[in-house]
Amino acid sequence: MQSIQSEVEDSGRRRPSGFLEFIRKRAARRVVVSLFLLLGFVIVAAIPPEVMGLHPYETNRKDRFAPPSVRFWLGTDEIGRDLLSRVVAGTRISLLTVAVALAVSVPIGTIIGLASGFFGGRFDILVMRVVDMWLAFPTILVAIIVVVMLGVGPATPMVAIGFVNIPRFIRVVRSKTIAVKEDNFVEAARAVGAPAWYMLLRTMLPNVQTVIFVQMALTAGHAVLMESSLSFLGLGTNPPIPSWGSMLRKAMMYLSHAPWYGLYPGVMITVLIITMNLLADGLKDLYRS
Amino acid sequence: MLSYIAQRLLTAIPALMVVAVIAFLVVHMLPGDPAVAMAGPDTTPEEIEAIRVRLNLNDPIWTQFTVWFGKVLRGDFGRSIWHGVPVGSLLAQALPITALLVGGGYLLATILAFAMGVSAALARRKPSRALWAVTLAVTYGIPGFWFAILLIIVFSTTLHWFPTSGYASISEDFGRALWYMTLPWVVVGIKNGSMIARYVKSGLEEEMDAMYVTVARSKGLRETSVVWHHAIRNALIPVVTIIGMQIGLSLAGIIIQETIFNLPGLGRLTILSISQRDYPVIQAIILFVGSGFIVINLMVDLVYSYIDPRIKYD
Repeated sequence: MQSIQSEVEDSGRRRPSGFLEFIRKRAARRVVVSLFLLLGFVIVAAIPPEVMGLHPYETNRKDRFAPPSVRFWLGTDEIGRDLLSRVVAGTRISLLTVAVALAVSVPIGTIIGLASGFFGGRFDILVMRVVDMWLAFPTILVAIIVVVMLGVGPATPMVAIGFVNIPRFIRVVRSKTIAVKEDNFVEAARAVGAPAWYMLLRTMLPNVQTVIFVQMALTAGHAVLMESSLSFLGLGTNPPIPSWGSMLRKAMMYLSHAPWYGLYPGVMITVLIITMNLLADGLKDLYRS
Repeated sequence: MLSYIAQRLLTAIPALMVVAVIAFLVVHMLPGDPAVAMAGPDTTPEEIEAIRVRLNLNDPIWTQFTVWFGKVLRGDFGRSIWHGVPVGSLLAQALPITALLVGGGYLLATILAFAMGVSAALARRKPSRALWAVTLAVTYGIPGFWFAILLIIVFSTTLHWFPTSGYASISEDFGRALWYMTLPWVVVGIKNGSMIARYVKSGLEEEMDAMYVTVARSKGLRETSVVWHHAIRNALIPVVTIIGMQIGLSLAGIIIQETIFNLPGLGRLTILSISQRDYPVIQAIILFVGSGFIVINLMVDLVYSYIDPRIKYD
């Protein structure tokens, strides 16, 4: 009896292995939950709306501002388009913006940050001056200026959002590079005569990648917010492409007689941003432990 | 200390110059001829040529910059194309409204940040920690413009407690001005408050683990005294920087709040002049915001070295 008891206690104390052990940590659970949510958003964005039985572009003149009903689950907008279809289809623009913004900011920011931190000297001073100036302007103002300069088009807000996020990558990658470049393995690589590109990409990059992943999650959340803000101000995606920000822009005009119109796009933006922030927080804690 | 201030002031000068160059170049980098853009539609070639001469557009770009910058230094930002009045007077009209929005909003934000941050940090080992975590995550994640729309739906169009938008001059009708400003203040306060609260929370949590807190507790001090007399003072230092940086960065929020609540401040002026292609106004705003941010950073650095004497001035 006693031996069984102790065995049970022992097995309870023994840590489960692999994935189970991984998700015992709170930070890991946060990462897993947010990745699942993100996967949900990606799947919704990847499936064409028509396949899901949704019609984001179909107008019904007779059913303008229809309240939520069996036919229109979330009601309709000012020209009778199904709001559920439009809200779901709006996921595409948001995630596409995240993808483009990351594709612009991650490579440029990482390479400049690595080089700046690794080589130091005058180049580093110059880069940091530029980064400080870049960050001195509120991001939305820079994005607005870029959009105005390049002209409003489908890709400009996305590129502009990527552009304003470059200095943040430079900054985090640079400080992490400076923190690890004195380590012995870097000295070892230098001792065997590794060329500069090898030192940067094969020695340094794998050791600074954690901060890049955290910053990617933060940037993704920021990109969603910026895209919806620009669309809300009328500087984002052009109608009739559904975008949460431009839906809210329209909804603002009809708040008193169609309040539901102003709710759903905001719920989607908020959930997506919180998902990204959760991912960033989780990754940060996970890497720290 | 004095040499530190002098040195910081000197480093601010090149930064201000760069801001001026950017403000100048933005208009010149726009696609097309600035004179055509400034003249607007329905203008004859003679009128465009007159604008070119008036703006010295036929001169080399370096001369144009020095002429423009010389005027700016004398406080002359040119005339608004759209309104036909000096840009300076437009800014002077808009600035007090933005100052009122930012001032009131930040007062609320600071109070909320401390209330939320300290409560969340002290709830660290209690069941209520989850509640605080959710509150902070939601208030931090919710976009400011949608939060404003929610407040309008609840408090304006449904309950009719506050107006949906608009503005009353604070010098003419104080009560009415407060009534119009309440919802914008709440949005600015909660959005920025939750941002700062995250730093208050993590800062205080870190301090509560420090040895001196254990010492303070073991000599029998009450917990309130431990928190408010010992830990919070050290937790405050990074928060000052955050508050300073946030004021500059919150301009994004300000632009949108002013657009939603129809407050004729700097943010709405920015959006209007961009849509009206009112280049002299855009130039002046970039110059103003950029240099404002540099000045705020400068002040934060000075306050920082004042409240934390450990920071060396060399």
